[in-house]
Amino acid sequence: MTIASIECLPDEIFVEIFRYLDGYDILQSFLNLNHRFRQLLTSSSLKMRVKLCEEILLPQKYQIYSLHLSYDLHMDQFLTSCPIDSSFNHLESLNIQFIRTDQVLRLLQNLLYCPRLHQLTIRLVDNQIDLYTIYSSIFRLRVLNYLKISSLGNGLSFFWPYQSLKSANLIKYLIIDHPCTVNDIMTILSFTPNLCHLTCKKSLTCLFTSFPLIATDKLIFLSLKDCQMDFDTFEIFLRRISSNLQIMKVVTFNDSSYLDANRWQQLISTNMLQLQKFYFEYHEYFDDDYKVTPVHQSANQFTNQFLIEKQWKFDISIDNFEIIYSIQPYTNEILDSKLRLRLTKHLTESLNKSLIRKLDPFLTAFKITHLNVDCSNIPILMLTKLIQKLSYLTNLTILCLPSCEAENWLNKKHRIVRLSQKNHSITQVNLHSISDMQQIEFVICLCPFVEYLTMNCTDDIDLTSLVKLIFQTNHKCIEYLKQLCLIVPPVRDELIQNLWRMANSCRCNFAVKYINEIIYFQRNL
Amino acid sequence: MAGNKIKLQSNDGDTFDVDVEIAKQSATIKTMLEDLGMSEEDDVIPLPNVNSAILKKVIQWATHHKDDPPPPEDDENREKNLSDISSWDQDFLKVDQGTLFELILAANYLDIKGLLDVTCKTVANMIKGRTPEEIRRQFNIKNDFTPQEEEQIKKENEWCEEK
Repeated sequence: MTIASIECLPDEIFVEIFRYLDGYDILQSFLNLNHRFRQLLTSSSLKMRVKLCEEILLPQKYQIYSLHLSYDLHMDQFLTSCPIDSSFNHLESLNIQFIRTDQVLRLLQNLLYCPRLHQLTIRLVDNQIDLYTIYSSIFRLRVLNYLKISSLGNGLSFFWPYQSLKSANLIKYLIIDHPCTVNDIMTILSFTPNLCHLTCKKSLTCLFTSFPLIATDKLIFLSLKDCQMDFDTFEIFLRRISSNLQIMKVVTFNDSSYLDANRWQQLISTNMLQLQKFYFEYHEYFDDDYKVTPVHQSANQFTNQFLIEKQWKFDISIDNFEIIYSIQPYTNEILDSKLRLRLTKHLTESLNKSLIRKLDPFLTAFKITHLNVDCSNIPILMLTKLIQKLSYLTNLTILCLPSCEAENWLNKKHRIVRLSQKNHSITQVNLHSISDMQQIEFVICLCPFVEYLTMNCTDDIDLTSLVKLIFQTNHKCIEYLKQLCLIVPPVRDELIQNLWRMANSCRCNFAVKYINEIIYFQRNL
Repeated sequence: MAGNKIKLQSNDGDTFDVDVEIAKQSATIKTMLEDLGMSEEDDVIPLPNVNSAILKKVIQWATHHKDDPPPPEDDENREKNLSDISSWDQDFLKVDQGTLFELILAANYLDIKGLLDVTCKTVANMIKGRTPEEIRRQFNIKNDFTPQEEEQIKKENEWCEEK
């Protein structure tokens, strides 16, 4: 059967398509088309989401399952003329942007009568928000299971009575997008015995470290995106709430005690037995006076057996202004105890001149084995000198190479060849985007002992010339090369045959396979 | 190492050898294999609602997405987003309207959530922001309202026209 028209699609498919469109767009486009669509749109079984930006009359309230009140709506007038109450009996999700606390409190009185409301997102405009009044009013919404509250203002934290009711509400997902304290968090947790996921997106501080015993049996996910406590306080807090955590994300600054790998191991192995995924970032300002202290050096322990068994890896990332120590789960990589360094594209040329000097003490403290570098702003000679310093380097990934032609590659070639003669240990090289042949020649000179070379070739690369350069020019690397992978746009079988002939016309013996837009040259041993 | 294969047969008689793990992205085929006790090696799974050309496209899509993570459990509750179609999917869906609609029906019948999502999203993008006249022209939809009915509908829904 051939489908000639969109009208051949059944109603169930239109219901699915309409889920991607705002109620206004659906009515605007389809209501006046014909009898079939009119019947569908007025059917009580079709539910719509509506985003309101202007004062317009709402269509049938019972059809609305999702309502978004935009920032440019006149909120007072709207809430008076169209109270969100039991007449919205299918409303499941409500998103209100830029509303005052007094308006929210009035709205919440009515929301008590929306029988299906399970998602609530509120962005407050007040400079200071009264956390207790707002949260305790929201916790009266009995079927709510997702809550996000945003505000740029500080929370007014004062004494909260801890809640003792066990079935206070059904909230499972809570996103706190305003500054608050861990003391507020503990109180909120006492109100939300069903909470599974907790995210704090703004600064999290601590007023006092006397925390009550709160049942957090269901809390399996914790994300703190701006943890401003020292590690001692954080540890006390975490011991209180972490017994069933499965995923934890922590971003913190300033207190280098967070780099104490042994302390993390102790904390996790005694208190967080369920933890499966750990994402950690410790940020420090990276300036000319950056000092690597013994505490920093203790981060070397993050490459120990404990992290390998947990399948987590430790990375260090550097740009002009910041150094980030991070832990995250492995993805598809091989588990090992290597230390990875990432140099990001935010390194600018003017500061590159001092980069090597800045990195020196750092490279003494850490044995970097994997380097992931974005060379958009790093000259090739600078990269060569940097790599010369990394005597433990085995794996090199280059995200973006500068155009070697613009850098006058030929004039620098002999110097780079000479500087790179001792790069024995670099055996795996991955190039994310290759657009000219001189870039390839540079990398081959930089890593003459490469065994596994992967290149992502753009349309600008002529594959015949590339293979000729690697296999038929008298490069030293061909002696060591075991596998070459070329990620390429779709190619014809005849070209693969031709490449195979070229690769085997030298004294080497390579098998060639083309699978899923990757050409593999595998040395026959 | 290549995985186990099964044979899928289109309604015009063509059969396709497909990796089981790829085919199991279709909840319909997965159910046939697991619940109905069909064996992977011998049996041909007939798909009477899908023709050869569309089945070939569906297999191409499923092969490309074989390593995608499964959709999150609370996916139904998420706000649907029109903009997140990968460039591969965008290229894959540069087809005529008839093929696009048949892919939707095939994704629905085979119960392949990712393919249904991306095809419906593509149609939603074709609809968004268009007037009824533009929709009529784009999708060749006949107007069966009488002039009186049309006038009446306009009056009823003036709120929509005011924006």
